[in-house]
Amino acid sequence: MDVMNIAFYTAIIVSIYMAWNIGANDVANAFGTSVGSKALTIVSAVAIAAVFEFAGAVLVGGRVTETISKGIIDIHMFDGHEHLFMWGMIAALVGAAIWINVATFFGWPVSTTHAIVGSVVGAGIVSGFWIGGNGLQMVSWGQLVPIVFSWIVSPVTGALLAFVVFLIVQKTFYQSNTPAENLKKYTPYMVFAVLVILALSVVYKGMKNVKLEVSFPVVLLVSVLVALAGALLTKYLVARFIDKSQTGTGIKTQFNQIETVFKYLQILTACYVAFAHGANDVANAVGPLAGIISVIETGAISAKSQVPMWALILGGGGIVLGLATYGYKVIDTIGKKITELTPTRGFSAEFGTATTVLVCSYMGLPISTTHTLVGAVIGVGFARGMANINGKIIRDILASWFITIPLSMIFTAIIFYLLIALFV
Amino acid sequence: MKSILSGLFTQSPFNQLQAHMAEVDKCTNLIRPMFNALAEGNHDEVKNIAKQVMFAEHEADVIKDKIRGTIHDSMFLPVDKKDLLRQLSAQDDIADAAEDVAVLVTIRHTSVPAFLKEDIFTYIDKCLEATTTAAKIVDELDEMVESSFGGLEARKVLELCDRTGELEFEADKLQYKLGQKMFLHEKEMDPVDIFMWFQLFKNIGELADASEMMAKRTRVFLIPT
Repeated sequence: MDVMNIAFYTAIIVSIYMAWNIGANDVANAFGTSVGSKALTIVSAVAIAAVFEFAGAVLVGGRVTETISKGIIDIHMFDGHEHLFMWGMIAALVGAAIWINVATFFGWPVSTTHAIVGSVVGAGIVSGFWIGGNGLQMVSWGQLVPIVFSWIVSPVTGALLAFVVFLIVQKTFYQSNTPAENLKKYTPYMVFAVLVILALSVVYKGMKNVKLEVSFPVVLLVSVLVALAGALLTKYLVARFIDKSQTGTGIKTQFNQIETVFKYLQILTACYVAFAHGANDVANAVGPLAGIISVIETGAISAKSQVPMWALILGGGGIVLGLATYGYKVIDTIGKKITELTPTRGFSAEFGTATTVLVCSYMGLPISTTHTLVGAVIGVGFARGMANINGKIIRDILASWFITIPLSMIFTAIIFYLLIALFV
Repeated sequence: MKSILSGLFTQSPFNQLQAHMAEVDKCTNLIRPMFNALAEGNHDEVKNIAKQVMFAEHEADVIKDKIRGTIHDSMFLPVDKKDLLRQLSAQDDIADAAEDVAVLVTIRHTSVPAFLKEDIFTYIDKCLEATTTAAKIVDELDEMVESSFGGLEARKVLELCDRTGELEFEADKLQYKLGQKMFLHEKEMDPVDIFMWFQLFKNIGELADASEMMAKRTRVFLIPT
């Protein structure tokens, strides 16, 4: 087998492994609570998560992929050294994967996104020194500023959105004089809002990726129609549920009705999270792969080349594989352990998370879905919605930023030197 | 693999407050049977029940210390940490009051004068109604958390708080009348009995006082709209 083939297959295997890691852990967070509240069985949760993850990865996933693959390193420095770039990307994938495995073994809240960004930076620095210049010049530090900035901004945005959504839920239902009546009246509007956003993001960006050009008014019309149908169905179902379950009008009964209705609304936001997660995080697995492919196919690193569809499908498939082989376990533990995230809280946190992640994906910013979710839960806490949040987790997350990036850089550098010694 | 979410939550201190109150409730629920035994002159039974009161009070203390040990600076709570700890010690004061009564009842064989018996029990029941209302308030804590301490739920708890205040006021009036009646018959009573009952009335009244104080602490959490 020639060197190119070795590179190609290694890259594919490590990408799938990264995607597996992403699927095994992150998505489970959104669906765990739905399983815990018995709104979904574990099998259906995994199935729904798989569909939306895959759709997100394939339909929206391209944008962030390009940023990771080409935005962080100054590719013009590689002119004449394309092979070095290819091996660098392989080293980045391996380095990040090793670090994530070490971290998850110890239970540290690291982000796959941060690991891969750190690794790509590490690969860039090593290449620079190898070519014989200042390694630090290989990295587009200017490009990194918005990325690092977004790591801080995304949990804060998630928190803010979740805070607002939960405040609305609180005022409309929990703190109203007629919670049950308000459920009948306002739930359809909430479903409408979520569905419009979800449908818009699926259809608008997605159709371009599968090479179907649809004009924006058509997209908007389709989204609104879908959302309208969902809202009408909700109206009927909620009204039927409230009228049938009228066993008492006590506060406790009405509170239970709120949670029951949100149990089902939460499935919607969990799908939204899965979709956004797929869109954002598939890049961590296929970003470097996309760079490798362009070297193998064209012999050059082109700045504008599209991420091939099959690479996104590969990444999406890897995530689904992770979900199916390990994610269900995480879903199970979360469902049983985390009773704090009741349906109304989960709905608010997930809505805030998914919206933030999706917007960042459109902007091409690689952010951490999990950290955003933590930010969103804390946002609900600021609205006096959680009984107790352990603030130490924030310290752990901050620590993981400062550890993940240097360590994945170091892992990558070691592996890169090994690969250079072997193949270049 | 561990999920990041499992590290995000710790045990709800409100459920722990409820566990503490369950022990306090055990103490106060024993007060009536203890006086029943006293009225029957069954001092062994009085002693036996008093021991149970002291045991439950100790259990409450254990839970109290445990809660104090788990509240730390890096916790995000929907209420002020200081207010939460004040609520806890206010709950504990109810158990302490019950224990004081148990001590007084066992320290000496005090007899229940026949002409006062009915009034004494009316007074005890009034004070115990206040402790029961306090227990009901703590029982609502999880619903308060669920509704973020506002809305209908806040109003419901507010009513209970007001009710505790009323009960304390009524108990005060009963205590005054009880004292008056006792001193009207002071010549017929053993002077030490009089001393003991005067102390007991005060200490039984503490149950209602402590309940009212606790209700005032809970009130701080609420944002009625």
